[in-house]
Amino acid sequence: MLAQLRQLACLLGQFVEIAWTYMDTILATLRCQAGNMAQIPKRIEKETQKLETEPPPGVQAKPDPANYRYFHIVMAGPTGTPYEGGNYKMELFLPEGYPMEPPKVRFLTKIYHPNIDKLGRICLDVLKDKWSPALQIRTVLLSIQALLSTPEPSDPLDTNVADHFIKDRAGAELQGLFGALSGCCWSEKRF
Amino acid sequence: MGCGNSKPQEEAASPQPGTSQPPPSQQPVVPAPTASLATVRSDKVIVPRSFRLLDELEKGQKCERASHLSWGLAYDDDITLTTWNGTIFGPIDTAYDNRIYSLVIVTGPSYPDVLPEVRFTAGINMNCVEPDGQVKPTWGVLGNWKREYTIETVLDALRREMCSPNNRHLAQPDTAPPAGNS
Repeated sequence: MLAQLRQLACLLGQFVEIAWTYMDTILATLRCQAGNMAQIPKRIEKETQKLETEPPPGVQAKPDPANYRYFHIVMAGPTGTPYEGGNYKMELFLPEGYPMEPPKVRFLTKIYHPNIDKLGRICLDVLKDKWSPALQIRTVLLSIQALLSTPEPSDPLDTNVADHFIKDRAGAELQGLFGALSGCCWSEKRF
Repeated sequence: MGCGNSKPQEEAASPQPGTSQPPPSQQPVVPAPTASLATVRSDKVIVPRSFRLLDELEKGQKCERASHLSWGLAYDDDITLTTWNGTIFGPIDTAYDNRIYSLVIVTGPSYPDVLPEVRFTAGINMNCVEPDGQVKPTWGVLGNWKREYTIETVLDALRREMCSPNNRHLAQPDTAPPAGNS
């Protein structure tokens, strides 16, 4: 009985010794896990890195130095459209619910387009009811580029611009073209 | 509700042809964050100025409820979302009763981290308002400004202030237009 107790005490002692030896490692692991909790969500981190290393053609997207969910974007007007030659500034924000909720995007450069209003708000299905968590910042940016190439005047946000596009497509596109040219100046303006 | 198309679907999340990154399974368990990302670490989600203001604008437009407050952009093409109009319907049984008060609210480039400038456009006699209509930046919600506060918070607090014992019986200049006359 005594021998068994002694053996038990010895085992316990060994265990304590081992635990003591590895204490640093255990603590480090715990600290590391706590640290990870406060970090940028993996998905956002990956998307940000990919936007930096392989930006979509004609698009620049940079995270704000003070807010990893906020991106400053410059999109070149697609070639062969009235917006060609213009550089359009946009801002993008990943809300708390991202990716279950879509990103929020707004033009900061004025643009003459039936699906974009005077405040730069964009009417695009993937930013609303057609959003899916399988989509990404990159997909959204490409969709906006596609929207610049193919305006949808039948489905307008700005009815005046849409009427102009329907009744006088050439005139409306010309106005968009002037906008693209002056857009270079607009994009210099700081807000 | 009208919306544009969503053509470029070729870059959906799952398969990413031509990426230089290794597939997730080959990544180390705790990859070192890049220097640029490490500097932007933060626990709290901060809604940037303009998206916050767009939310405020939408709320103001939806507010058709029987409210005593209203607010909206002063210019409908103000892409900087800086100048706002607000109105307060004077509370009943006070010196402000039966009057509509118009205000101009300026949300500067650092709003909502920094308080807005608030000014009555017509004469009003209130302890927290300068003779020129400027609401004192040291008063109540402006003096103790918090990022969560909104234009609505300010208008609501001003209307409460009208009801406070210090203000409710103050003699008023006869400049604000009477309600129902417009």
